[in-house]
Amino acid sequence: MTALASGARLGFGRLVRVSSLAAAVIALLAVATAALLERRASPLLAPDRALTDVALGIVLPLLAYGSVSRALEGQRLDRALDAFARYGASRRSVALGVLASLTLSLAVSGAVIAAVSVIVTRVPADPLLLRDTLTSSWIGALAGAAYAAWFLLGSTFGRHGGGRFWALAVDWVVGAGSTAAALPWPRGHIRNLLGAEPVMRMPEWSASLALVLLFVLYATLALVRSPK
Amino acid sequence: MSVELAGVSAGPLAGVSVTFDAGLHVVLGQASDGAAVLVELIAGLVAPRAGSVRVDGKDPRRSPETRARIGALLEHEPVFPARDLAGGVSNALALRGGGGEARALLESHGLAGVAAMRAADAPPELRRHVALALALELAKPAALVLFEPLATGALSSRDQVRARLVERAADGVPVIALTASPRDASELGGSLVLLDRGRFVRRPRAALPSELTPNAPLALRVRASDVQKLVARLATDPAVSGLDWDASGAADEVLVRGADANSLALAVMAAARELDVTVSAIEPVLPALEEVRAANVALWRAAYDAAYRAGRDHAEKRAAAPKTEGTS
Repeated sequence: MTALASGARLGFGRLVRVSSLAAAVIALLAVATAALLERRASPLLAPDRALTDVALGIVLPLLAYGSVSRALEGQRLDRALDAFARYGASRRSVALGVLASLTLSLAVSGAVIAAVSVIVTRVPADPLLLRDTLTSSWIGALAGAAYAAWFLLGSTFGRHGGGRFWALAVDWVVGAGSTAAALPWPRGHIRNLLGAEPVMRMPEWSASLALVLLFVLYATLALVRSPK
Repeated sequence: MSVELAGVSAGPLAGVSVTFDAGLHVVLGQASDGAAVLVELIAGLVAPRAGSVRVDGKDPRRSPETRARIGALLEHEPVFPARDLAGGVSNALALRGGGGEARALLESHGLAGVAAMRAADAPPELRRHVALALALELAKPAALVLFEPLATGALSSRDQVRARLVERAADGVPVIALTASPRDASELGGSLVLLDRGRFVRRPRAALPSELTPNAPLALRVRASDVQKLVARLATDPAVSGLDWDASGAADEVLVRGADANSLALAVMAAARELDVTVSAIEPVLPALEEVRAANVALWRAAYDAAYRAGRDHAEKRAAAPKTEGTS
């Protein structure tokens, strides 16, 4: 078994535990409930509000934070990989495997969360339902992947990977703006894709590109910060 | 092959510099003295705050190939990231790239019965035992660094472990065994170094009471057929300064204390011959680690006092010397 495969198995193995799956179900229920409340309050722009404020604004970042913590068992990234590194595995290869598993699972989670949010807020006969669901799922998948890499990078800081929490806080506080300060964090670009005020007036299409670039940047930094 | 630490600070270790060449080395000290972190440093699992660690000339923290050749036994072995123990061992063997059959390895260490046990259910002692088996069976190791290798649970055979370590050391591998037990240190043999509060303080020639606690009273454990008669006779012997004995008569042994081990042993044998008592064993009682640490403190204090006296004498001599012309 290669180091990469070991990392992927480690990540998936820890993410498919009952507690992790229960957290995903609770997240879905929270998203569905919030979407239903938004629809009842005012059907006009309910999908946007449900997606921006709850599904991809609160639930997905928290789910991503919890998933990364769980995959690393609350440790700093390099310490979490010691079980393989001590037998000669390159930590970077194992970390890449963990990143792959997290990216895949959080992209799927993001897509499902976004889809549920749209489906619940729109009536079944809505002609925009399918298009909105697919678009939102794509944004959710992109957001999930970006958060996976962002929190993995955060996990390389702090004695026990406490940088994860600061990554969550920075994204929450600074990332929600539209100034240059929001540029390096995922939240501003996700909000842009969902129709909120864009970061530095960037066009909507560039937000997707920004999320992809941020994913690559975070992932690269996380791997570089891990010793071999 | 060698393991070199140069100016290493990590955990309680403070500026430690030491080289372990090929052979068996025993570090006597507690986990809190830095023994646990020393294993993690050499295994390449933690980075020192300062200084460098080299195993066979390479930094194990940054060299996966070197880590693959280091057999390590940690104080707290983590849960194997696998479904069962055989799977964990199989992963480890695959990552090392040396091949080998997990079940055969477990079987050779008396662990065949636990191969199918869920890795998450394995108790800490069992995890240590499996990790020890992996370390001992490492092909062509660059170093072995083992925390309490003789204390891995009832399933381990101490003789088997010790023999394997001696064999590896004879092959030219630096074998570093860390223990807080003077008895284990004595049993392991090899060169001894004392680790006390983050520093290597002494290198006794052997794990013997006279070396571990110099100038302290010695004790011999004596097993005999009629301990009561022996005690009555030894109580008047000038070589004996004390006797610890269970007066209920149930025990067949007595601790005989005195300043010199040879004089004590001769006194015991003379008394036994005179009283026609059969002595089945005489063995030195090893001091507890706390006594060894206390001896370290006493030695430091003595060295400090000697240096202080030398300095004071030197200053007094200078003050008493007649002043030469031109000085004020």
